[in-house]
Amino acid sequence: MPGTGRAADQMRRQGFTLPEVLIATAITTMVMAQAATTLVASHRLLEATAADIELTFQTRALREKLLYDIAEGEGGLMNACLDELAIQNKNPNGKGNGLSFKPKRGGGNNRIEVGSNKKIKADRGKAGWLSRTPLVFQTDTIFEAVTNDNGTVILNLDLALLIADRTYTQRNQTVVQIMNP
Amino acid sequence: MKTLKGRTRGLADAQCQKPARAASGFTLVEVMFASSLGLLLFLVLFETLLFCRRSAANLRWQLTADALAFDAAWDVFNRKTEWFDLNATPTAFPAGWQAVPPDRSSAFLRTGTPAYYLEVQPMGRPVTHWQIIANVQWPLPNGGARRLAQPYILERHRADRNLFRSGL
Repeated sequence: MPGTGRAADQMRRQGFTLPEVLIATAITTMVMAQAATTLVASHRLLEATAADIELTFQTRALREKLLYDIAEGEGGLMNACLDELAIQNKNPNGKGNGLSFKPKRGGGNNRIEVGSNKKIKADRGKAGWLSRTPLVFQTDTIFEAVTNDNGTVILNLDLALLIADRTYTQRNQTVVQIMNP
Repeated sequence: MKTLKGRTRGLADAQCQKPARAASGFTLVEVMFASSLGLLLFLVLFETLLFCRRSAANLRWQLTADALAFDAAWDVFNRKTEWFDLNATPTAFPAGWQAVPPDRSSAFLRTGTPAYYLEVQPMGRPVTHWQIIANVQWPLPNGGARRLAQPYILERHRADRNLFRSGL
């Protein structure tokens, strides 16, 4: 029918009415807002996941270094001698920010402590070996002796990873068995 | 004016209408189909993120459980030999599960209690050495629990180890 075709053609040329455009814009805004929210949430989820993996692996790596490999050829705390073991700067709860010890094999006394940059460092050992990690300690008191058991030291690996203004944390205690008198 | 008749006129109408239809945009079915594809793609992306998150959590739990089992096994290993002579029997030191102290790690879910298993088996007759077996079980989001694939097994032989230790 030629008449109907002409009417449709005329209607198309007229364009959308104001209410139509307003409704379409409102719907588009709502959809875009939802999409943006979901995208930000996805990004946060991805960031939290990556931070979780980073915290897990770095905590594990730090644990292994402290237990077995503080200084070249001297091992770690599992090679320390109890006689020379002392917690530094103890608070009333018996917790301190440093630990001095003497390795059974290797050089003389060594000391590990949490510095002002909230990372752990050793007086003697490979430079940056312990502090080369993106994680920072959340507490100064990370060394603790077990009461009534002078063969065990607890390390409070209470670590945080900072990304922008967000902080991801994970706390683990490591029990170090002192194997040598 | 020249008029078109019959089949020839029909063809002319069809040819005239084709550009008008193309200019009118997508049909509802096409838009729905495209939206479905977009939604499917987005859901796949989101599910991938959730999968990565679950994998990270699994990794974290397993590594923490591994460290816990290691510490538990070495704690027993480091005791005096006389402790093993007196206590390391199935009756005096029965194998069993104990709850992990809550301040030990923040890695596990709060919905359940992680537990560790300790067993000390005397080996040989008379006893020549002891086998220390440690394992850890941690809660899962679905209400179940998982254990380490391989428990820690240490052999403790008669050696004068840790004579200085007062507590154990």
